Amino acid sequence: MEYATRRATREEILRLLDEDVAWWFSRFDSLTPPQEYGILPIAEGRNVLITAPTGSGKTLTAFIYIISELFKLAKEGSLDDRVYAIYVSPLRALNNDIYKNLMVPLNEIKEHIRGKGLEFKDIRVGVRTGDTTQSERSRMLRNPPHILITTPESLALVITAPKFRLLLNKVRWVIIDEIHSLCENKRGSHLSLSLERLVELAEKEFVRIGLSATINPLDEVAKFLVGYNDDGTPRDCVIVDTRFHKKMDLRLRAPVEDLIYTSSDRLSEALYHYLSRVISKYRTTLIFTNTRSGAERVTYHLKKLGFIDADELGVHHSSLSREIRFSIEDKLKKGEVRGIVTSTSLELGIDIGYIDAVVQVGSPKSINRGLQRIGRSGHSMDRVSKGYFVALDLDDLIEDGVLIKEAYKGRLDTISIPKGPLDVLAQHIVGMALVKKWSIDEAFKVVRRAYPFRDLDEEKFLSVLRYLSGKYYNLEKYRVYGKIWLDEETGYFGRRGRYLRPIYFQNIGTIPDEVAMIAYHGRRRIGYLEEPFVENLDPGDIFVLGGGTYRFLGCSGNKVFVEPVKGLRPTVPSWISEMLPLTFDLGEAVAGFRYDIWRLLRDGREDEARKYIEKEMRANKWAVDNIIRYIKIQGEFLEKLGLDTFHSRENLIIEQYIVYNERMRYIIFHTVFGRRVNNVLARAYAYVARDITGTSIRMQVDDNSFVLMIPLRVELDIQSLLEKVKSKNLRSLVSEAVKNSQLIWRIFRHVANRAFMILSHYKGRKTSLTRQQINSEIIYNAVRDIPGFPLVEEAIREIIEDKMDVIRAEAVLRDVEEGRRRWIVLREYDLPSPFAHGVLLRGMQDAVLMEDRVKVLQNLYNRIRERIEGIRA
Amino acid sequence: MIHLYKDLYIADPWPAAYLKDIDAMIFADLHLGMEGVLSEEGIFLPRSFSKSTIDIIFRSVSSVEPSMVIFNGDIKHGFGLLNTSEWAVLREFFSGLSQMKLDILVIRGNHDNYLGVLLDKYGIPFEKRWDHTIYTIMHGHESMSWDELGEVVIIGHEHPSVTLRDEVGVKFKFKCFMWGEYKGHKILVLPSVGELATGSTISLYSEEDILSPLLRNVNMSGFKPYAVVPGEIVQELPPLGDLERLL
Repeated sequence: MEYATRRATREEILRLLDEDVAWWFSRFDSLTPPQEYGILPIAEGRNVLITAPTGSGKTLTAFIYIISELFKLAKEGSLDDRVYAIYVSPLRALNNDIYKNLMVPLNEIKEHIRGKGLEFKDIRVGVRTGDTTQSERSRMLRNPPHILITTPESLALVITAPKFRLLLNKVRWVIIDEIHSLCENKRGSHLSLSLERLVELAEKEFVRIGLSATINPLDEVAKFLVGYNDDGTPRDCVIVDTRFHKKMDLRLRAPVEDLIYTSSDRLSEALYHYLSRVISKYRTTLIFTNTRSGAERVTYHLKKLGFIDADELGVHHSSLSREIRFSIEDKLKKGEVRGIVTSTSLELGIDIGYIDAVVQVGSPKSINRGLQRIGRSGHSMDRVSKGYFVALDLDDLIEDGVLIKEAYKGRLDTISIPKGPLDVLAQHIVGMALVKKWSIDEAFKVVRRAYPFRDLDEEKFLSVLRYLSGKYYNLEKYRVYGKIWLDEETGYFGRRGRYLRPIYFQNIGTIPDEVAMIAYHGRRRIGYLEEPFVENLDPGDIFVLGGGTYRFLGCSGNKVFVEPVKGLRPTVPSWISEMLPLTFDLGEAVAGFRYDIWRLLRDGREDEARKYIEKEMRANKWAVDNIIRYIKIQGEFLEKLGLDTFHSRENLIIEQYIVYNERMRYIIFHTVFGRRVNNVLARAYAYVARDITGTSIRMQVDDNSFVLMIPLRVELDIQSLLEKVKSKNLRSLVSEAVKNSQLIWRIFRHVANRAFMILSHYKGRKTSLTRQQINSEIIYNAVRDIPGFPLVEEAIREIIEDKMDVIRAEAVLRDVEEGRRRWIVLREYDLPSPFAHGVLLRGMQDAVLMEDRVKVLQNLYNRIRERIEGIRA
Repeated sequence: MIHLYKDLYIADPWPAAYLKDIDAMIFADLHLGMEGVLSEEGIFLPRSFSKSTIDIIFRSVSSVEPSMVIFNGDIKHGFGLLNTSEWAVLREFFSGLSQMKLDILVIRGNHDNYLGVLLDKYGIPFEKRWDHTIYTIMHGHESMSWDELGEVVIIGHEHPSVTLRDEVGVKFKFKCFMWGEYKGHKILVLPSVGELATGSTISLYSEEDILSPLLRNVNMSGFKPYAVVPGEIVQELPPLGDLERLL
C-alpha cells in the first residue's frame, strides 16, 4: 500500500497518451487532483484506489489511459474481438450514464482520426445488466465489446457463461466504481469473489482501478479492492487520496426557536418555509430526507406552499417506477428542476446535472454519508460544496452540528466490511462448480484471496461444501438436495444435477426479496407492507401507508386487515427498515461534545459555549439556543437526582424510570454508540435479565440509548445484571439471544435465498412462500437444531456483525472492565430525563422471548385468569 | 385426559382426541412429505418436520396405548406419484404402525390423493367419513348439510391456532383444539400434528380465512381453544370472544 505523491503535469500526461486521444484530452486546461495523481500509476500497470468527491473527474482518470491504449491497438490493426476492460458499478442508471459519457470522447476521437484518412476497427462499448435482452446478449457474443459495462451480479454471470467467459481471458483493466457503497455490504463481498474468479480465468494479472467517494480507512478499502496473495500479504495498490480537495460550506440550522415546545405542525411549516427559501436562492437544490415517506411528504407540502412552481419540484426514491425516476433525472440534467427531494436514491453518482446546494433534513447519521451527500453539490472541483443541515429534533441537531465540526477537522467514520459471509460463498462455489471440477484446496486458495474471506476457516469452507452437497439433509438416506458432488477423500467437488445452471443464472445476487403482505380494508386492497413491519404491529396501532393513515386490525396468512382513520397520529414509524444507524465514531464525538458544553455551562462560561457552537458548527442563533437549552435541562435533571457529573464518553449513565400505571420499570442506558452497538448491548442484557426474571423482556433501542422494560413486581439488581455481561461472553450471549428472536426468521430466509436453499426462481416459476403456506418462522424452525449448519451460523453472524456491531460492543465492555468507561446508576424516579425522550417515543421495539413454551402458556393462562377474576370482582 | 362430552376426551398432553368407548386416539393433518412438495418449488428444507410429526405420533401412541388409531385426513401432503422419497417416508410410517398391533382407520383428506393404494397394502381401511354412535369423524374439506351429521362432529383441515400476548406485549402463537357448538351439534376441530403448515389463526376478523366450508358461517366467538404444546401440555383457555376482549 502506498499513497500517491507524484503529481503529474498536464504535459506529461499528454505525452503519455496516443496522439489522437491527447488531441481530445488537451481541451481541458488543467488536470483535476485525481487525474494528477492517478493516471500515471494506471499507465504503469499498478492497481489504484482513487477517493474523491463527486465531480472530480474520477471516471475520466480511470478511462483515459485505457482509451488511449485501445486506440493505439486499433490503429495498429491489432484490436481483437474480445473484452479489454470491464467497468462495474452498482447502479444500472450509472452504467447507462457511463456508457453515454464514454461514447462522447470515443466518437469525437474516431471522427478526428477518420478525418485524417485512417481506417481502423471501431472501439466497441457494451452494457450488460439484468435489463439486457437475450438478443442483445447473443449480439454481444458475436461482436464482443472491448469495454464491458456491467453490474456485480452480471459480472458473476458472465464469468460463468460458457462462451462469453472465454472473451474475458485477456482482460487488462477492471474498474470498480462507487466502491464505498459496495464494500460495506454483501454485494461487495460477492463482487470480490467474482474478481478472484476472474483472476483464475485470466491468463495474466489485470489492473484493478477502484473509484470511491469519501470513505475511511483507505488502507482497508484498498485491500478490499486488490485482495491478497497466497502468502497472505495484500497485493500492491497505489492510493490516491483527494477526499478533501473540494471546499465545503456547511451550515447548521434549527427552523424554529424552540424545538421542544413547538407543535409538530408548526415545526413542519417552518421547515417547508425554510426549504422554500433555500430553493429560491439557487438554481437547483437537492434535499435529502431520510425516508421515502418523508421525501413524499416534503415534496407534497412544498408544492402546496406555492413559493416554488410545482413543475419545478420533484421527488425521487427507489419505490417510484423507473419511468418516473428517469424523467426526473432527465429534467435534472436539463436544469428544469429547482428543488428535488429524495431519501437515499440520489446519493450515488448518477449524473444529475449541476446541483448548487444540498439540504439535509434531519441527520444523515454518518459523517461519510453526510459528506457524500453534500459532495453532490458544486459539480466541479473549483465550485464549493454547499450543505445546509436543518434538524427537526434536538438529537438530530446535535448530531448534525458535531458532524459539521468533525468534517471540517477531516475526521471520518470507520467502515465495517462483512467478514466471510458464507451464503455469498455458497453462491460462488456453485458458479465455480459450473465451470469445472475443482480440488478443494485450490478452491479454498482462490477464495482466500478475496479480502472478506482472507481469514476464512477451512472448517467453515468445508461446511459450506457439505451443505451444498446435501450432507446436512442427510438425516436419512436421501441426498436429493445436493447441488454439487463432493468427494472429501480425493478432495474434489463438481457440479450436479441438470438444474444447476438455471438455478445459478436465475437466482444470482445478494439483494433479498421481502415477503409482501397485502393490506386490505374489507375486500379492498390498499397496498403492500413488508413482513417485518407487520410482525411488530399490535391491533390498534396506527401507521401510514401510501399517504393515508390506517389502524391495524389483525392479519392472517399474508393478508393484513386495516381500517382508515383520519386525523390520528401514527403510533409506529413507517418504513422502519429504512432508518440508517448513527455511526459509532459520530456517536463518540457527540458524547464528547455534550460533555464539553455541559462543563462550560457548569463553570459559568456560557458565552464561550455559545461562541464555540456558533463557530465550530456554523450554527445559527436558534441552533445555538436549542443546543444550550437541551444540555442545560438535562444537567438540571441529573443534579436533581444527586449527580454532579454528566454524560460523556466515559460516563455511561443508567436511569430507572418507573411507570406506575403500567407497573413497569424502564431501565434506560444512555449509550451514544449508534443503534448497531446498542442493539447488541440491549439484547445481551435483556437475555440475562430474562433468565433472572423468568419473563420476556421488552426493549427499545435507538442511536443514543436503549431501554429494558421489566415488570415492577420483579426484583432486579442492576449491578448484578451488569456483572453478568462481559466482553468475553458477549458474543455467545447475543448469539443465543438472536437465535430466539423474530429477527432471525427473516435474516435466515435471506441467507437461505442467497445460498440457494430457497430459490426465487425455479423450473420456470417464481416461488411464492405464501402460496406454500409456510413462512420465515417455519423455515427457520426446520433447521435451527441442526448442529453446525453453516446457513444458521451465517444468519447469526450477519445479524450480530453486519446489522448490529458486536465487535465494537465488545470493545465498549472492555473499556468498562479496564476502567476507561464506567456505568453510573441513578436512583429510581417517576419521570424520564429529556435525553431519554427520544428512545422512549421513537425507539425500535423488540423483545427477547421466553423460550420455554410451556411456561409461556402457563403464565399467559394465569394472566388471563387474573384478568377474568379482576373483571368479576 | 381432559373430558369434553360423554366419551370424547382430549388425550393431553398430545394433539389428539380420544374416544373412550372404543379406546381410540384421533389425529388429524399430519402432512407427511411436505418437504418433498416444497423442494419441487425450489424450497429445500431438511425433513425435520415429517420426522418430528412421526415422532409425536409414536410417542403418544406408546404413552396412551389405545387399541385403535384414527387419522382424520391429510396424512400426506399433496404430492403426486412421482415423489418416490416421500412415498418411502409414508411406507416406513405405516409399516412401523402396523407392527404396533393397532386397529387403524384413515379418513380421506383433500391432500390424500393416491393414498388408498398404499393403505390397501397394509389392509388399512380408507373412508371419506366414519360414523360411530353419535360421533361423525370427517376431514372437513367438503361441504355437507348439518342434518347429515351426528350430534358430535370431529374435523380437522383447519390447523387452528391462537395468538396470545404476554404481559410485555410479545405475541406467541399456539396450535389448539377448538371446541364449540352450532345448531345443536358439538364440534371439535383438531389441531394439526406437525409444525409445518401454518394453518389459520382463528380470529374474528376474517371469516374468509376459515378453510372448512362447515365452519364458514359459524360464529366462533363461543368456541373454546385448548392450546397444546405437543408432549408437554394442553391448556384450556376461555372462549375466543372473551380472549379477544381480554388481551
